[in-house]
Amino acid sequence: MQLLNVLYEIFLKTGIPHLDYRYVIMWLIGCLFMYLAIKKDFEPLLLVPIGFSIFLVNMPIAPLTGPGQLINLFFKYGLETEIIPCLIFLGIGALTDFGPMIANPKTLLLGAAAQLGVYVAFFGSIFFGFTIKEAASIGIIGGADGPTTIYLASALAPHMMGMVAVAAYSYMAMVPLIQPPIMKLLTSEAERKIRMKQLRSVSKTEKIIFPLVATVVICLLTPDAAPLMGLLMVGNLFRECKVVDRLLKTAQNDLLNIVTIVLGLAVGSTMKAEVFLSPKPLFIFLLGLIAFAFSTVGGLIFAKIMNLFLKEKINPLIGSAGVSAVPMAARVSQKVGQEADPKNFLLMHAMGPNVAGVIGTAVAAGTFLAMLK
Amino acid sequence: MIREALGVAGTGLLIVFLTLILLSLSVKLMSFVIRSTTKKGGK
Repeated sequence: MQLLNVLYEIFLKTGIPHLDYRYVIMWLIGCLFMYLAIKKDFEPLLLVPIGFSIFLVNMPIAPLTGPGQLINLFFKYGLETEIIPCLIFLGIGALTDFGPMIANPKTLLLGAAAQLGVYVAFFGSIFFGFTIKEAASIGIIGGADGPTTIYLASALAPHMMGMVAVAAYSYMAMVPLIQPPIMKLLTSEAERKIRMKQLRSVSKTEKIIFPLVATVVICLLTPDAAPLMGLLMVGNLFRECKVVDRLLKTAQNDLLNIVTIVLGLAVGSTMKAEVFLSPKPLFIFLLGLIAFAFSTVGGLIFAKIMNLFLKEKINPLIGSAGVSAVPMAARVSQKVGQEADPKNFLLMHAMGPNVAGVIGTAVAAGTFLAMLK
Repeated sequence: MIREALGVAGTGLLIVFLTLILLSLSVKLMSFVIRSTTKKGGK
């Protein structure tokens, strides 16, 4: 009898009596993320750690997310302090070639126009009953930039960080599915066939000075975007100056990989059953889709408007690359362009608005912070 | 709330455009200065 009591007490200390259906649903959601990453190759570097973290933190009574516990520490020191999104921007800067944008600076305007969805979803969120700070965190999904989304959400609506981050990364992974129908709907066959003049070559000096110029302009106009833009530009300077090879390699590889692991685990940890299983995430996913679609529309329509004034026409398909999602959105422009004209090469032209979109989204986040923090 | 949201969105979009227009002009100016000084140096 005593043995049975001891066994029963041991049983009570396991997770099994604390298990309920909500945890099982979250395990399935975690598995879905891992399936999408492993089988469908959707953003695997993020969805594998996020998916496993969802799985892990929904183990009942496991000491992971309480104060001072492992994943809570990742969240507290990585995301709440906003260090991780900024370090990811350092890596992105070290990987990004701003050459196509420097060669054709008017593509920066497409990066601005493609922020339309941010503001459309911002309004939509308010109509769905979210607070103004929550609405800003949802709207920024339209920028299709994961680190910026996390950066803004951690400052304005930390309780929603997991949901908006997952929505942002999910839609980024689904760029090749979401954008092409909108692109075909809003452009004529003739427009999709427009060929653009080859971009001029950009000198090393221009590439070295660009991060300094961009830092001055952006930090003076939107100081709240300085942490993101500052690290993006220092990473880019590492890349272009060609004298800090070790720092460049660290920023591009080891550092980026380490922060990606911590980011994935920390973001996934916010998706606990008691928070996630409510109607809110469904609204966030719906609004994220609206944001993303309108950002694509904004870029395309603005490219068509620009064509009314430009002597040398631009192919409107490059406008849709103004959503950040580097380089996938640019690849989609190239692919849809080649469906209309197999000899048309839009990739380098689309990289201009694509990297401009990264800057545009960071600026949009900076303005939200300036007005709402 | 709607009015406040309208203000935030309008101002935000305006600042995004303004910042990127100014950045575009700055990049154009930077390229112009660098390319013209490099050409002179070459001569």
